[in-house]
Amino acid sequence: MFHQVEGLVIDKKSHMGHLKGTLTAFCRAFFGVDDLPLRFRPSYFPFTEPSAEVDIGCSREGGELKIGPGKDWLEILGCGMVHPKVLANCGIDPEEYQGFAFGMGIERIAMLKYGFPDLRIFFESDLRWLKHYGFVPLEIPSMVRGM
Amino acid sequence: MKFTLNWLKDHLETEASLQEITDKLSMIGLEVEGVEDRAETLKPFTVAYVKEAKQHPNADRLRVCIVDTGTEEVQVVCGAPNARTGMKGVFAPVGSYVPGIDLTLKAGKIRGEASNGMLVSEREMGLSDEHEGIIDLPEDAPLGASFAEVAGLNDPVIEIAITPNRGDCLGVRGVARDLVAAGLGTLKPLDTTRKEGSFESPIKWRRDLPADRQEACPFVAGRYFRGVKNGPSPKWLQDRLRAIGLRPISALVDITNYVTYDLGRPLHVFDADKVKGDVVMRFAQPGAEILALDGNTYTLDDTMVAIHDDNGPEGIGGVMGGEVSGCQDDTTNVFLEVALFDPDMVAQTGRKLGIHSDARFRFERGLDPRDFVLFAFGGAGPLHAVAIARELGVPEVLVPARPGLTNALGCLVADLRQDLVNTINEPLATLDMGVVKDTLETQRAQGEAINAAEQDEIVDLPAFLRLHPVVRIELSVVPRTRR
Repeated sequence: MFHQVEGLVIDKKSHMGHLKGTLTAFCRAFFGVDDLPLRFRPSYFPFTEPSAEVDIGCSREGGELKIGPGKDWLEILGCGMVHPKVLANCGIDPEEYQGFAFGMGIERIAMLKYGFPDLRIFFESDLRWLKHYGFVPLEIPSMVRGM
Repeated sequence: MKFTLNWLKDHLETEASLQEITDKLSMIGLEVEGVEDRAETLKPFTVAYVKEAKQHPNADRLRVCIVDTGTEEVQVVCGAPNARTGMKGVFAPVGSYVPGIDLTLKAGKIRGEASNGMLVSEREMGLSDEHEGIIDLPEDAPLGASFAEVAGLNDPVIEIAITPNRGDCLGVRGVARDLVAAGLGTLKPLDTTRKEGSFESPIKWRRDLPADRQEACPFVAGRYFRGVKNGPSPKWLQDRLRAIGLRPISALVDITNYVTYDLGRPLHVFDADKVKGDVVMRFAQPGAEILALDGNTYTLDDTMVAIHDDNGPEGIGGVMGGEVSGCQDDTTNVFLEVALFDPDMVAQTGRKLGIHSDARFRFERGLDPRDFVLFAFGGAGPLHAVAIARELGVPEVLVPARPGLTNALGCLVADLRQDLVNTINEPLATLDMGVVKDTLETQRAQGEAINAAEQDEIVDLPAFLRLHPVVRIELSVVPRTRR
């Protein structure tokens, strides 16, 4: 089991540049790396056109994964401009409206950020595990404390 | 989709390194899943001569071999039935990592006899499932030479993931063309010289489809070849097929498989002597049965196009050929099928019958009605396309209606001043040919005016039929430099 979060922005002017800016800002804030490089690779999803997969910079030297500027890339999410057909099928005029969409696995990016080796432990409701990683069960993330 | 570096370079003229090519592939949407450089993994293995193979004193099934590696003589205990005095095989020295069995060799004793290394089978080399015996190399294989080189395996294998919208890259040439468009070299010309037939084919094609379902198989062609001699295909061809994980079968079958992967163009060959009467492309009778090339019998229904002769169905259109009329080693006369099928029909047929084949994989992603068409994307798509086409020498330009990535990112700038594109979005069945003709006439007039004003340009008037779920005709008039 895993969870996927999807983001969707529809208005009259949002374009690929906004998508890029949004995801860049998010990834840099989320991973706490101000100069985190992002790479948008063309790809294909049936519901977006154009579509891209996003890689973040990392290094795998010495068998240790380090997120930040480095020699390697790590794929973390998919995104694109919403396909006009999708809008039309939702009763939105694609001649007038446009927007972007992205999606990523919640556990996956949490694992990368905190270095959890195993996804299954997320669902064991083990308070000791939460405490071990310094979380309180009802903690609300804030920009001040870091995301 | 797998291919080797040298195979790619059959189509692509480039100075770029393997690393540059794989980086570029990922960045143009053809994500590289892996690069296997077998010259590297097979480096320790060399050609060796079995000077003597005698029975193991303490084991019925083992032999003790004295192996000349070219630099020294070592004793090896071997369990293969084909290990014999005077043969040439592949030697894995002590300390080498044998990929097929995931083992690093150590010197040891087997039932009391010293064994320093190993004579290996194809399975142990990770090359195939063949484990009947050790690899038997030809007598003239040079002693001590690298096995990868002798076996033609010193060619890196690249594997890329193809998204469902990129049927055009299911052939090596398509991949090369995309790399060229990304600025990584030039596309080598393909020899498409037409060879006139010297006799009339005794077998003829007929398309027998209802008027409203012509799109199920819009086109088919054939060619009859007399007096061919089947047998194993040439070594270079076998090497390439093996490199991408296909098993060489016979020259005739290997050629069709090669063209499928080389040009993304599935073909089928019939043993012409087993075909009775003419071949007809039509919807199958419900309940008709066919023994397919995979050895299974399938029951067809009337939504599936099948190739019929007087004996009944001989092939499942766009999916798989039939066993009965397939080629064997003793085949001497063959009939070649080159057809186009509706992607939806092929997808549905394949899904209903549960057949996954290379042909289905390509047909259901939409095969180009003509080969070597450039797809253009973007708001000013046609302009970009023509600019690129001029560079590449691609004669046809196909323009989809939706804007695409290249333009969205502003990667390309066209240097042409004219854009005379007209798209007619209409199902083919209801399309008024009068409108098409009028559009063409108007555009031709405009184009000729441009032609007259600018002496160095000619006007081309291509018309396209795109074989996608909605059949769409697209017409464009584009000025291009005279070649």
